[in-house]
Amino acid sequence: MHLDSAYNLARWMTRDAGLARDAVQDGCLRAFRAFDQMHGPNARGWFLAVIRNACLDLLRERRDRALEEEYDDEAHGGTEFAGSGAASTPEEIVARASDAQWLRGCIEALPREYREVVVLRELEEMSYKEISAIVDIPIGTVMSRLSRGRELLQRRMQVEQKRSQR
Amino acid sequence: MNCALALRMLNAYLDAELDATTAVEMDQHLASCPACADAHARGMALRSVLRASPLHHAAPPGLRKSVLRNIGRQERAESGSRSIRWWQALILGGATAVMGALGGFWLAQPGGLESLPELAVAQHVAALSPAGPRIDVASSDRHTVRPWFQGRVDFAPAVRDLSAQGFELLGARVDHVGSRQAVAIVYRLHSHVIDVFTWRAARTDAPAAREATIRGFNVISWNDADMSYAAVSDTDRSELERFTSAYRAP
Repeated sequence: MHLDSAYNLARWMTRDAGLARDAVQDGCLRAFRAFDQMHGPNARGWFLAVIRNACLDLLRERRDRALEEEYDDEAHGGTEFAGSGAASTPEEIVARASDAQWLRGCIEALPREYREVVVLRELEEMSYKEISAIVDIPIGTVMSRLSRGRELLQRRMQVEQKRSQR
Repeated sequence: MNCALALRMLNAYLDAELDATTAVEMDQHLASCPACADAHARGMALRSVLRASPLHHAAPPGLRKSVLRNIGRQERAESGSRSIRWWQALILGGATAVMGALGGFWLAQPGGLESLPELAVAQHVAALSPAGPRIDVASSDRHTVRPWFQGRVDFAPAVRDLSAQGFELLGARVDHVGSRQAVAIVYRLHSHVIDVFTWRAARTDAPAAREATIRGFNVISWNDADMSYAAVSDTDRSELERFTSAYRAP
């Protein structure tokens, strides 16, 4: 079962382990009921689209969406990243970039619509066409969101590094 | 290609989503434009950092099991007539992994919630696999199969040679029906597997022979003095009746 992919997507979309579990549970039930609708060779893409919808519904339900809109570059100066104490040498910066916890925080700070395409592309290694089907947006939009998402991510990582250098 | 276009195409280039002609134009532009080459290098660096980091969240242990339990509960709620759904879940799951999980999932169910025929069907399904039914002792010779049970279960199940009636003996396995230890004698009719489950009867077991269709499988169950039986198969009901009367014949 593409359960790891499903959980990974849900975890990144909801930014919460408990919500991600719930979303996977809901999504699997939906996928199970709607199995007749499944067609085409891309079972994983179809399944992830169902999981994504379950995430969105859950987020909406918990009123997290309104909260999430505020979760952008300006609102989150990165103070939520634990352990980003003073680092001074380039070696430490390199080491920090390989600090997964820190990197996770940077990705989680991305607005959802950028975060989901970055996760689908970089972590699930899906094609633009597959992402377009899962997120239900045109391929051109996948491209521009990925472009913007990566830009935001790079900028955040830079800001975080400078902050910790001071 | 100019820089504006190159920067717009940069991500598609990084992701190998450009057509060959445009990709070649990008190669040429990046070779001649230090600013765009720099942007490209940053993109590559970000990618390698992302790919090298353990960012993928693995499903927590137990999630698979609880998903399957949920689906099982759902399916029971929607009545037993949706046998195909079961197989859909299996396909969705990747057959083998789910098969393993299902065996455990059903065993974990308290026996009181499901009837014995339902539990027998569950075990029948759990033992099926693309390679054939699970069999602990494979033999078409009942004189091999019957002694095999000695020391493994505390009763002596009947193993009959029904080849004259067209039912080929494949072998047997030790199994469970709910919390009760059972043996399953495995026969085959054409491409259909027939399991006969035998277990020590409890006083609460239904006395009369009954037939049922559960999840698309036909089940005929009956008792004698101290044993309970259930024959389970996806073959026609009339064929299973024919099998059962042959099996029960003295």
